[in-house]
Amino acid sequence: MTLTDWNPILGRLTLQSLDPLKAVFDPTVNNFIASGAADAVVVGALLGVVLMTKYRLWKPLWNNWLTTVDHKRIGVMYIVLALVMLVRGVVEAVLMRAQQADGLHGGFLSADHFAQLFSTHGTIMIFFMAMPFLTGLINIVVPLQIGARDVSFPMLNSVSLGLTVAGAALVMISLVLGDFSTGGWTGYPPYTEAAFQPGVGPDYWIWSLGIAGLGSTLTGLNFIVTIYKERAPGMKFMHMPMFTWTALCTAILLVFAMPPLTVCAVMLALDRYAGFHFFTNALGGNMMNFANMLWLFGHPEVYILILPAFGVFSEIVSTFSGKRIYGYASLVLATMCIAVLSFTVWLHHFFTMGQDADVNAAFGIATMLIGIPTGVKIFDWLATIYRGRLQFTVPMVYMLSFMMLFVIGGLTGIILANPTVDFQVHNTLFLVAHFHNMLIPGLLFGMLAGYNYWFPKVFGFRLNEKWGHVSAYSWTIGFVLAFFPLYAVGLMGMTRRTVSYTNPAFQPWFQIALAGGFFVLFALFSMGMQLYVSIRDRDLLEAGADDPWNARTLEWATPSPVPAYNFAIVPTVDSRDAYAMAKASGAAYMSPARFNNIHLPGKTSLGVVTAVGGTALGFGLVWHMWWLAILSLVLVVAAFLARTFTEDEGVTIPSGIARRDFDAWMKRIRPEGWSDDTAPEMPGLETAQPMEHAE
Amino acid sequence: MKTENASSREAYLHDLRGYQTGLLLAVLLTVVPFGLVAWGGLSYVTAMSVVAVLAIVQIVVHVRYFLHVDLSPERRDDLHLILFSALLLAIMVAGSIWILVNLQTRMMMPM
Amino acid sequence: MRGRAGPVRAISNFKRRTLGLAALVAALPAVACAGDGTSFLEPAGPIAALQKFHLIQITLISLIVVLPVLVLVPLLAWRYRASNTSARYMPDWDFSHALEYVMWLVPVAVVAVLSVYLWIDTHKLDPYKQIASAQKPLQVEVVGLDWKWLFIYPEFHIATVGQMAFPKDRPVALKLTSDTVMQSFMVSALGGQIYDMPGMVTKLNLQADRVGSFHGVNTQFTGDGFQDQTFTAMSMTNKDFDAWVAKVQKDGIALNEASYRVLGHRSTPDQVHATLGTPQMPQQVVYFNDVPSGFFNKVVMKYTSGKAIPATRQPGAVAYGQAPVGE
Repeated sequence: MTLTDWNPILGRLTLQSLDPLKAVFDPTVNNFIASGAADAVVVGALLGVVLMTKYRLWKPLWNNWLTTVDHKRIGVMYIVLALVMLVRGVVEAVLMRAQQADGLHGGFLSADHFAQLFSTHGTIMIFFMAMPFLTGLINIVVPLQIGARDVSFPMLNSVSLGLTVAGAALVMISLVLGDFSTGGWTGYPPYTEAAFQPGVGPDYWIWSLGIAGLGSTLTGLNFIVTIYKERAPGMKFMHMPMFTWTALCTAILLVFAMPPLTVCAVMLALDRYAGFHFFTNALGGNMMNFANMLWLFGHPEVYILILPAFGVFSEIVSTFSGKRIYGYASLVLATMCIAVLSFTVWLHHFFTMGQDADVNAAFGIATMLIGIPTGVKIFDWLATIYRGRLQFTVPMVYMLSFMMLFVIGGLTGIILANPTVDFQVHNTLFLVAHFHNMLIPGLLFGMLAGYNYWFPKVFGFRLNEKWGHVSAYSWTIGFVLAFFPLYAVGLMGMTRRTVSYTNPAFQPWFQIALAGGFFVLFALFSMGMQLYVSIRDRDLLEAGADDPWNARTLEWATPSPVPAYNFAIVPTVDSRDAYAMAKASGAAYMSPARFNNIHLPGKTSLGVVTAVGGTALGFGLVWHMWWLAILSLVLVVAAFLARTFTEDEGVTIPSGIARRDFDAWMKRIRPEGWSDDTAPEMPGLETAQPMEHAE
Repeated sequence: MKTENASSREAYLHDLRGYQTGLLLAVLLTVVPFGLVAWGGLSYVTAMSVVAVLAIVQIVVHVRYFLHVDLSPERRDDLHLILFSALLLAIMVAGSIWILVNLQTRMMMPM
Repeated sequence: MRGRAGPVRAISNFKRRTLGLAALVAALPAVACAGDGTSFLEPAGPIAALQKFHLIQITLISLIVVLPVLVLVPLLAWRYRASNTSARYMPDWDFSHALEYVMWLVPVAVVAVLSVYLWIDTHKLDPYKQIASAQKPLQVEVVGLDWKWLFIYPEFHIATVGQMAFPKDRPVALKLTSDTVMQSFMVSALGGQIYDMPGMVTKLNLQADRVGSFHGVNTQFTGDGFQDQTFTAMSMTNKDFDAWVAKVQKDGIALNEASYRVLGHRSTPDQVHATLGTPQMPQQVVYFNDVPSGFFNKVVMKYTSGKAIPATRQPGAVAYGQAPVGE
């Protein structure tokens, strides 16, 4: 980068940076796609602004959503972000599949564009789809499952969302201004050092991850404290639902795994911005140190992604088998083993870097060890279905697909855990197929199942089942068609991240994979239809939304949608499956003697300040607009300092409102002929067989 | 009234003693490493090892005297969390050192 | 109101999934016909053959745990579907000691067996380990560049770009480094990969047990020409190999600062052949003779000398070669 390319106000922004103009400067198919994407972002943003203004939604958006500290609304916003980014991530994936289906003849994308695609695809899917999705579900569900009114640090929760949004905004801006990194989502130096990539790409990568990563770390802290401190009276650890257990372990992983990523990204930034030599070729740099730190983060990260999905599946298999979850203690132990072991295996991501056999073998064995608790979980879920009454609801369909497809991914994982075979398949499409095999049937199906499962609780009406089934089947078929061919092609020697190839034997596999991509697009479309039809028919779908599945855990012991204060009376708990027990004994339908006023924390603008300030800071750093970076940093810090001088009076919900909500809810869910004089031993809603005991 | 004052004064003195002990130990554990390095009488490896060990001892002192996490049953949860954190950090640090030292020997130019 | 999926959907669900898995299994033979010389599924040497064997062994052993799941999921889901009222319903059954033992101990046993194999085999196939042979290994030094491989034969003072020839049944001892960024060298038909990195030396030991041409690649992304960073590894009879060495010595050009500077630019073997090649050299290949001793070591030591390397003198960098010669 020469000094002549920089000016104090615009930094290194020039006319060439405007991606909508790429097709104008050089009209090729490749550039029309690039400019088209840039235009889509600009048009989408403008359309959003226009619609918001037309329907006068700014004020409600600000008052009810952007400044809220209500964990449920924050969770909804996380999931909205995840679903929007899912669309972009899938489109990028289909583009790559199309390119490789045509890759024998060179395809239609330039090598540079393809490289940006695989880099943004990975970055977006992990940091701006998967993480927000699971964070959103944890936000919505965990406080309810533990009988709490909110998380321990509500304002921090909003700030975490703001940090994540800032990172996502930077990645979206990279589609309009400048280019993203071509170094993959892992950003290995020295390829991403200034000598080899002097442009803005790696800087977009560093700051979008770095800023969003801070948000994730804070979320981890928030939920560890919440689960430790805010549980309802009587809820011991071994009474917590499985989703809360997995959320706790995920939170612990977040706190320990995110810092190595932040550190190595900052070190790379120091190399790029300040001429340091952490990872450069010469003057003492050690690129292997980056790989080590990245995977110290990267491996626990994949367990951060999968544990909440496991938690969702535990809830789902229990609810839709109409049974207590089998092997609760085993499941808890397995979850804790997975959490600890996830920190002992990271080297398997670079078996081929040159370590000796002792190191490789030790980490390989550790990697296979994690298969044990994971296998136990699957067997526990199967045992839950055994002697249950299985209902093939949309979440259950996702779960059945997950169980079968995930073990195949597990098998390929065991294969990859062996250094001798890994030496052959590392960095081939076999590896790519393996991790998508874990992430799609594992993480994504878990998230989509959770979305379908808890939607009625959050919004007060159920989702359309038919379109839900269509999307579940389409995702399953799409995944199998898109990725199983990649196992084949990887074994045949095809390297990953390759824009074209010369071996004609690969092409038919890529064509099948492209067909899979189209099924996935259709699955996305079905999800959109599901939402549209559900909103259109919401009056019909409102019936039974309080407890549509006859579920067992505390989050269902609330009206749908859940009021801001969650529980009119904080429940007292003395067992697992607290709501199922309450329904069986009749306690779930009793009115409390009295209602109290409920005090809730007040709103905050700090989430928005963080989102805007974070985006501006990242943008300024990427484009070397130092004035913008400094100014935004100063303003964000000042906003936080200002907050320390204010008193949060909060909001008081009068007891009358709580009583009114409670009575309306009771009217909907009480069984026929209930009266408050009825003895507490009255049976619940289920017409189940008499209880049988363990053998 | 008088007994309340007496017991709260007792509690205050007890807390004060804890902080005093902690401060004294922390200062000692800081001065000694500085002194050792300034004296220069130890080899590099020995000096670094002593400093590292004293640093770990000082972490334990801070946790015991300033964060009040001791071996009593009331603080058992906190103790578990701290030990668990220490375990993870130990794995990450020891593992990284093992890996990077091993890589260094394997990357060297053969003579 | 519960989901209305019912038995019909359940059947189509299982059918579809089972069909998918069956299709995968049926397709496996097609995978093996990968095209000659590109994959360890058709191994051309002892290392690759062992790796293929490991793949099959690990898969079969793991199936002990995987197959029951694939069978039990559709079986249990079908038998315990809500409409099947003849199946026993035990909503509060949630523990069985016997089942716990099986669930934990079977995977433990499988992993224990796999671990023993893993430990032994990983040591056996350490890339740095010399291949046991009556013959002395052929020394080849590899320099990874953007986007080509330079093969130096120190014994003969020759070097090539894009082609690595060696005698069959004789171990080849490779020393690798990079002069640009982190890369990964692999000839899948012969053995596994190893990273090559600037300022560092890694090792790889390969051997072919038949004559043939095998595809070599870089698997660690290095930029726009990454997919073109390929070469041909050719194993030959001893006689043919001697003839090949003689040909390179005869037809090669000098490997000196000027010709290496051409190599240092970001270009593919095709482009390098166009610039430096002569009609006597095969397509996408360049031959060098008169390679000075210690050339490889010099490349490595460039980065460990404690001196800075400006972008204008860093091969693979965007600014490489932009400063006037001599700077």
